[in-house]
Amino acid sequence: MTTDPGELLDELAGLRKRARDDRHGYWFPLLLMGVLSLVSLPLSQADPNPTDHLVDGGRGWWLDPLMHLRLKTEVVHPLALSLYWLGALVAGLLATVWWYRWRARRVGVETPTGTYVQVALLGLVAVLFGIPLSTSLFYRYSPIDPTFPVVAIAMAVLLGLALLAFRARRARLLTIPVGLLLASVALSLLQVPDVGIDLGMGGGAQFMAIAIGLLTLAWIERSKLCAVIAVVFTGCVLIVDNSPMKIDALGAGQDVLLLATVLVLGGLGALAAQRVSP
Amino acid sequence: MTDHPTAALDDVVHQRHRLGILTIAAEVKRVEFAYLRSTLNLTAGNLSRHIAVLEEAGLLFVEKGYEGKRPKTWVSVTPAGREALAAEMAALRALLDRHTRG
Repeated sequence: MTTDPGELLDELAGLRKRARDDRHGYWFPLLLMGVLSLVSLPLSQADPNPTDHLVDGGRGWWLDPLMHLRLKTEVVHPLALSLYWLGALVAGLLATVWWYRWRARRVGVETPTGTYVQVALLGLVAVLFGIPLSTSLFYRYSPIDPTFPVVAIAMAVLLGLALLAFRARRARLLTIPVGLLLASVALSLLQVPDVGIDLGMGGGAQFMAIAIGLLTLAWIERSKLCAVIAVVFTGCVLIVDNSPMKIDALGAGQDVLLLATVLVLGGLGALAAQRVSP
Repeated sequence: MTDHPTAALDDVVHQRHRLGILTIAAEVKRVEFAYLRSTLNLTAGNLSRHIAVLEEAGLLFVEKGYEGKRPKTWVSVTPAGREALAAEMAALRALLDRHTRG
């Protein structure tokens, strides 16, 4: 038995790392959401005669959450695609929780998924209702047009308060929704005209919901690789949501293919990394 | 005069295997008995005794159940266990600092 505090601390750090590596299982939700994205492609055929299916910013547009689960490109069956994505997001969440429990029974260490479920569900609510509602209120009732510096300061304050709410140890049933509300309002500021970043409210909110879920997963898994994949995916979601580029040959698939590829390759890469880790 | 860092070491926690159990349990939601036994290279009897000491001190929560016909024991750390582990790690780091400076 070692009595040296340095050796003991090293030994404990080794045990912590081993337990952390053994409980990692994020390759499955990555691969699952990637496959579910690819399966959505047959429903994502571009409409050759587009009418105005998409968000027009009119009164009450935020009351139709399914509208945000379409794609930027108008598709032939928008309702079927929205319902598919609603089902896929809920099924993906349930399958992920089942996966971590099944894996715990096999490996002997269980990843805590409570925070993931809370943030994923509340994140979905934020993406479908919170950000659209907050954006709508800003457009309609804000006495000033927020400029970039005003937005930056307001976002920093709101996100700081949201972080405090998320980290509160008491009354978490109250503080987590409050934190999410603050984060929703902060994020909706990105959509004001002077900043003009679309977070998927113009179609593609499902991928923003997946990004929120992956970032949470990276946090509870304490995994650098998962964090890198989640950040790359979030970056790609923002690029797809905001790029004016149109590739006619891909049709509406251009809104899905890059993101599905990142998820599938990320999942396969994570699986390979887990297999080769000692 | 400040206390020597060894004064902060807790007799219940400051045992290599018990520290190992707490460290692993604090990293996960819950850990199975067989995983602890193989990772810490302990016999079942030895591990049971360490777990009993930590459970009695309110630092661990033990769940016994079955998976099919096989009995399974799951161990999770309590908030008091998390605090005790953090205090022990801080004391070890302080001791290391003092040792390095001295």
